Amino acid sequence: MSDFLGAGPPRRKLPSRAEKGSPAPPGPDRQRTSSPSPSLTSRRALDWFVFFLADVQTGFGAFVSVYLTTEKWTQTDIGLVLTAGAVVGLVGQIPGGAIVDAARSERWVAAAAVAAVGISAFALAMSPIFVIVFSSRILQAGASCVLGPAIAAISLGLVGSKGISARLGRNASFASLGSGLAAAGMGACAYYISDRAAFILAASMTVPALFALFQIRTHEIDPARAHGGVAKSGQGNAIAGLLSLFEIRPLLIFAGCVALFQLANAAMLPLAASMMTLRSSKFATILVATSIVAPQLVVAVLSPWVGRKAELWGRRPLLVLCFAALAVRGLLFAFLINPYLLMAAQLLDGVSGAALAVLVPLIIADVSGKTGHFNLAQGAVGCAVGVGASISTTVAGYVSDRFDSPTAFLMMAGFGLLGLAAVWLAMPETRPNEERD
Amino acid sequence: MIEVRSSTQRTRCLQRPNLPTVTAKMNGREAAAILVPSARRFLCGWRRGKEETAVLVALALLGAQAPAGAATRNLQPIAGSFVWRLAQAASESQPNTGAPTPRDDDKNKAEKAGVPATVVDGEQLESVLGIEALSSTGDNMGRIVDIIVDRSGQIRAAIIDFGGFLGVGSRKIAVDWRSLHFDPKKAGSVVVNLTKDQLRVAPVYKAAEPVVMIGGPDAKP
Repeated sequence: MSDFLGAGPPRRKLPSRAEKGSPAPPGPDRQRTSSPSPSLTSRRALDWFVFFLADVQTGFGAFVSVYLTTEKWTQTDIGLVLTAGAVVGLVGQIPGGAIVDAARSERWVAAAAVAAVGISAFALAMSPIFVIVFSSRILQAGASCVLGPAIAAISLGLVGSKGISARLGRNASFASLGSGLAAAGMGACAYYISDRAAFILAASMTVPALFALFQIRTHEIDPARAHGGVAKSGQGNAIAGLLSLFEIRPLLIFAGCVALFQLANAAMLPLAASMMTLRSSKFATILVATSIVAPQLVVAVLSPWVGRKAELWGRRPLLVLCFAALAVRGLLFAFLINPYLLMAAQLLDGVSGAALAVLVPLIIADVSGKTGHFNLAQGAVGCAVGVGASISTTVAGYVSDRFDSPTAFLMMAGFGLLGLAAVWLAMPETRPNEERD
Repeated sequence: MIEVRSSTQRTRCLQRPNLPTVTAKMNGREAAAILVPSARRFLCGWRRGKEETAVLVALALLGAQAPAGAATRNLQPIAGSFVWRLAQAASESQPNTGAPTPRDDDKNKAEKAGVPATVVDGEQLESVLGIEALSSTGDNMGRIVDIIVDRSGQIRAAIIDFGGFLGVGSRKIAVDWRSLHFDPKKAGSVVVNLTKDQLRVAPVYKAAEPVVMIGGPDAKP
C-alpha cells in the first residue's frame, strides 16, 4: 500500500536493473529516457487529474439515457444522441491520436479537451434540449478521443519508458477509483436529490481536474518521450504515419486481440445486470450497483501490481491472465443462476480491467517506441476497441433475443477464448530487450 | 394570430362546470400558455370518457397552427407531440362525435371564424413521459418511457423502464394501461396495480415484436 501512495519503489528499483542489464541500444531516445526525474508535485497532480477526469467521464455513461428520460425525452431521440456520440467516439480515435502526436504541448491539448468535456457536461445538465444535448454529446466524444492518448502521452513524457509500467498502474488505479466513487456518488445523488443533481455533480469535477492538470509541470514532460521517441513527429503526416504503423506486426496482432476482448466484454455487464434485475426481487438495484462499483475497486487495487509484474514477468503472462479471466467470466455467467453469484463473477471483470488498463498503453508504447507515432498508435488501437465494443452489444443483443442469454454468454466466452488463443499463439512478448535478462 | 373560442358544448365533455370560457384573440405564446396546462390535464383525465375527442380535435387544430405549435413544443416537447398524435388517431376513428371538424368545403369559413380551443384547469392534466411508476406499496419501479397505442389510437400499454442502476441493467416492460392508476394528489407519479416481482419477470418489450402487456382490468396486486 505504501507504493500505492508514494510511487517510489518501482522507480527506485528500475535504474539498478537497467544498469546491470545488457548494453543500451543505440539511438537518441536512450539518453533521454535513461533518467527522467519528474517532481513529486507533477506525479501527484497526474494522479488526481486522472481521478477527477474519470469522475466526469462516468457521468457521460449509461446515466445519460436515464437523465434524458426524466427530462421527457423519447427513446428514439435518446437512441439517436447516443449513437451519434458512439460514432464520433469511434471515427475520432485516429484523428485524436494524430492531434496529440502533432501537438507541442500535451498539457494544453488535454486542458482544451477537459474544458470541452466540462462545458458539454454543464450544457447537458442545464438545458436538455435536442440541439444542445446532441452537440455536447459529440463534443464530449471527440474530446475523449484526445484525452485517452493525451493522458498516456503525458505519463510517458513524465516518467520515460523505464517508469512507465508503474506509472500506468497508478493511472489505472486512480481512474477506476474515480469512476467507482463517481458511480456510487451519482447513484446516491440521484436517489436522495435528483437525477439532474447527479449530473451536475459529475460535471463539476472538471474544475478540480483542470486544477490538477495545471499542477503538472510542463517542462518535466519531455515531448520526444511523449510522442514515442521522436521530437517532431506526426506533423502533417498522419496518413503516412498510419501506414507505417500497419507494418508493425505486433501492433496489428495486439489491436486484433483487444478488439476480440471488447467483442466478448462490452455486452457482458449490461446483459448480466439485466439478468440480475430479472432474477432478484428485492436487491436487484444494489446488486447491479455493486457489479458496477466493485470491479472498479478491484482494478484500483490490482493495477499497481499489474504495473510491477509487467516489468518482472513481461506483458504476455498478464495478457493471458486477462483473457482467461474474461473467458471464465463468460462461462460463469452462462451457467450461474443465482444473482449473487453473478455479482461475484463480475469481480473477474476487475482482473481483466486492471490488466488491460495497464497493458494497452504499455504494449503500444513498447511497439511504437521508435516510430514517433505513439499517440496515433493509441488512436488506432482505440478504434479497434470501439469496433469490437459496438459489434459486441449488437451481436449479444441479437443472440439473447433470438435464443436466450446463456447462449449469448457462451458466445461471448467463445470470443474470449478465441482472444486467448490469439494471445497465446500469435502475440509476441513486447517488453524492451534490455529488461529481459 | 389564432382565435381561440370555447363553447359550453365542448367544455361540458370534461365534466368540469367551472371551467373558464375564453373568447379571445391571442398569439402563439399566449395560446401555448393555455394549451400546455390543458394538455397536462387532458392526459390525466383521459380515462373519463370518449366525448373528449372534441377537446382532442380542438387541441389538434391548434397544434397544427405553426406559432402555437412551436411554442408548445418548446415548453412541453413530448406532451405536445403525444397529444397531437392521439388527436389524429381519435379523429380518424370517431369522426361524428359532434366535434367541429372542418370539412374541405367550409374550410375557408372555419378559418375566418377562428379555431376552436378548450381551456382546462392546468392541474388536471400532466405529461406521462418520464414520470415514476410506483407499486401499490409505494416502491419505485422505474419510469414511463413510452406509450403504445393500437391502430385505432386507443392507449394499450405504458412502457416502463424497470430496475437497474444508473441506466445499466434496466428492462423495458409493457404494462397494460388499465393497470395504471393516476392519483390526483400525487403529480409526477403513477401507481401500477402490480408488484415488483410481477413486473421483473415479464418479457422485455421490443418494438415490432409481439408485445406482452402484463396486468389488465382484473389484475390483483
